[in-house]
Amino acid sequence: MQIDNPKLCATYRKVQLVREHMGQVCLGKHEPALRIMNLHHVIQDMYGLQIEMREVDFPAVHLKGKIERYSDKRARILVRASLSDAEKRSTAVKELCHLMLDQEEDWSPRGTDTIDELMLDASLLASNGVGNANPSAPLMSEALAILAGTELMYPGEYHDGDLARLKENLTTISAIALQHDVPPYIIQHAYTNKEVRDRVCAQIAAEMPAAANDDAKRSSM
Amino acid sequence: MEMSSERKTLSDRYARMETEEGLVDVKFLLSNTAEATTDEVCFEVNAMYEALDRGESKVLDFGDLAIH
Repeated sequence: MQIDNPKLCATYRKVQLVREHMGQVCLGKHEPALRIMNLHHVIQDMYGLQIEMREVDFPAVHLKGKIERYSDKRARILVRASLSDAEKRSTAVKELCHLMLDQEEDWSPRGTDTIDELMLDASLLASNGVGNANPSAPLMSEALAILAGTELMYPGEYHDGDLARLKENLTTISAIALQHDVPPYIIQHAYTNKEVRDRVCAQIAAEMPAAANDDAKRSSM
Repeated sequence: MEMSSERKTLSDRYARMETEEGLVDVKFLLSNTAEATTDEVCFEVNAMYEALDRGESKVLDFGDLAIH
């Protein structure tokens, strides 16, 4: 799936703003493992939302979790109870990221249509290696939430040092994942997306801080 | 193509939630989508709602809140 640059910039800028806000209002160490309830608190605070999180006991192979947003600024995150603790954390973070990132045009209450699109994208990816070349706003939002969640759980400033240690066989993907309390594939995804992430973050850094701030605040409204 | 019963059940639920509860958005996190079908995913989402309706859920709190 091809994601346009302005959307990527807005995504990583919002991640920066949320991390800055966590640094201001939260106590103690924020890393290496992200404190999920701090993120929950900060997103509620910054976006004026009331977010309920529940774990639900049901049998499933594919569904890890979901989020519902309501017109009265309530949101409900539902996570499968049988997931590992690390999977519960990454699922909750990805769903929280939707509340941080999504604009009204990304919303859709027609969940079955969104499921159809996710299935279509997976089929296209398997056949053409690219996925949906013309993704809908809800489908793109799913991809951006995964990128944002990955950056929050495994921030870019760790990447180069860890990659150097991996190259020298001084650590493993599993050890890094354990340190950040995430499933190992999150670390792998971070490295896969590193080039895009680094380019976008360099672009954000090169822009006027005030302009970037205004832009991110406008797009979060 | 006719809508499957699982898809229709879920679609009806979301239509009801939109009208009665003000639902404006729903998103999902799935694994192994290349090995899933729409029907299987709808079945699992329906199973999640049925478990919720039976009260088989609890508050998810990671116990790591630390704020001023």
